[in-house]
Amino acid sequence: MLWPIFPTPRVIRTRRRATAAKGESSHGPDVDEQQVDERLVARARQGDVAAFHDLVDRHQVAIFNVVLRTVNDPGTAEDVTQDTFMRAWRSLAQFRGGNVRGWLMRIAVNRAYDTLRTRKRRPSESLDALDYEPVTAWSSNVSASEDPHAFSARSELSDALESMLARLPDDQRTALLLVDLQGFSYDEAAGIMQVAPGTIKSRISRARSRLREEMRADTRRSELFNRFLRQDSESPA
Amino acid sequence: MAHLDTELLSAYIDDELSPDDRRQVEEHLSSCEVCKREFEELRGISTLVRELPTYLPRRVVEIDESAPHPASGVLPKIIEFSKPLAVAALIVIVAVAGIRFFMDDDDGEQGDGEISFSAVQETPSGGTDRQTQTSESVTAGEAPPNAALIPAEQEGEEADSIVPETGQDSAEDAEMAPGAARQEEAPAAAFQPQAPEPTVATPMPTPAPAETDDDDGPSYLLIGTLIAVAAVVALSAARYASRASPRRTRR
Repeated sequence: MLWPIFPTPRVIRTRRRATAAKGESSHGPDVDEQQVDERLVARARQGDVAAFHDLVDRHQVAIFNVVLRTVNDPGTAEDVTQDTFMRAWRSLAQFRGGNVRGWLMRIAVNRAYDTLRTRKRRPSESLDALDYEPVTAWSSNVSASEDPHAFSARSELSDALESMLARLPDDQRTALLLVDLQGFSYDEAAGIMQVAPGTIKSRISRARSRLREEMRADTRRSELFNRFLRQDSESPA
Repeated sequence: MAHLDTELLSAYIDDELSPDDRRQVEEHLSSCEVCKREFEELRGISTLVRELPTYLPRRVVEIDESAPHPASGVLPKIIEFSKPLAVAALIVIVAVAGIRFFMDDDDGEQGDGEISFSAVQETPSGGTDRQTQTSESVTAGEAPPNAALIPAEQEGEEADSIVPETGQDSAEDAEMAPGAARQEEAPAAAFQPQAPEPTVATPMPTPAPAETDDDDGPSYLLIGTLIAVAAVVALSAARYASRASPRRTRR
């Protein structure tokens, strides 16, 4: 008798629209979110493809955004994101439980670094020059309709920051994105990057320090940054 | 007044300080404008990064269901336990090989032809006692371990020539062995050191059930071979598993 070791060759490609709002949490998942992830993983381990697609929907935008800023190329970032979930699908049996989001992000970061090593050179263009418009803009209190000047200044500052981020060393940028953009703790980021938490602490400090210096190095950027700081201190915490 | 380290300020922003460190930083910030300015700028950078635009992938992720799935059969379980299994198998192989080596060594050191206690004890009946003893002696003399299992017809033919002779090849020794069993006082030691160039030429006959327990050579070989095969399979599975799992990058 042949054991059903391999599934019948059958390809089901489920196309789902990526939605920014669905399940995306930019400041760390709460316990409920983690429980939802764990339930989806448990179902996916039983062969439930729909559950895995739900997992994809919940995390692909976060992964894509970290990978995009690591490899600095949308097409490559999409490939890496796709590969991340395929690898996650194949290695579900080896997942020992815990933080699903961190596990997926670790696969993504490793794949992004592999891509960088293979490619040897990172594109130097900033994201705003890549004809890749963001669907959701920064979640500031500034509204384009209410204050077009403030909105424009904020957009300019954000673009400048993207350019400066692109020039950071890979390890510093990844640590900063994981902690600030994705809301991981130092311990979680350390697990994703497979370094000590102290290393994450140091990389984030150096990254912020360098961004601050670059912000001050240009008169226009410095002026925009000062304006932002004033608004930030005036806005309720 | 010494200013605060940037790393400390950065960790303070992320709420990653111990309560003591946090209190010290807050006390310092309340009295030092330079550090307070730096803190606000670092916090501003952090806020800007947090509020970076979110880009959406144009291409949606597609899961190819034909890819090997963890819940699809027995293979995942094998893969899951392959690494510890491979390690365990290797330990057993080394242990078995070590035991065999030292047992052979011990037998070789029994130059006076003493039969090991275990060999005598394992003898099932008095009728085969002497035969077992002799076969052990022959085994110690590097002859094939199955020498005692030669059919009885051959034993009679060779019984008269059972005299310790230096330089006889091991195949001949092996055939002599059962005959020697009938000689009550045949010194086992005579067989032991005098087979300087052992060549395993005798084909292994089918062991009789009653004698299988006495001769542990083939069973060791069989177990060793099986374990080696299992180890190879387990290592292959482990290699497959490590290839399938995400690679770790130490930075």
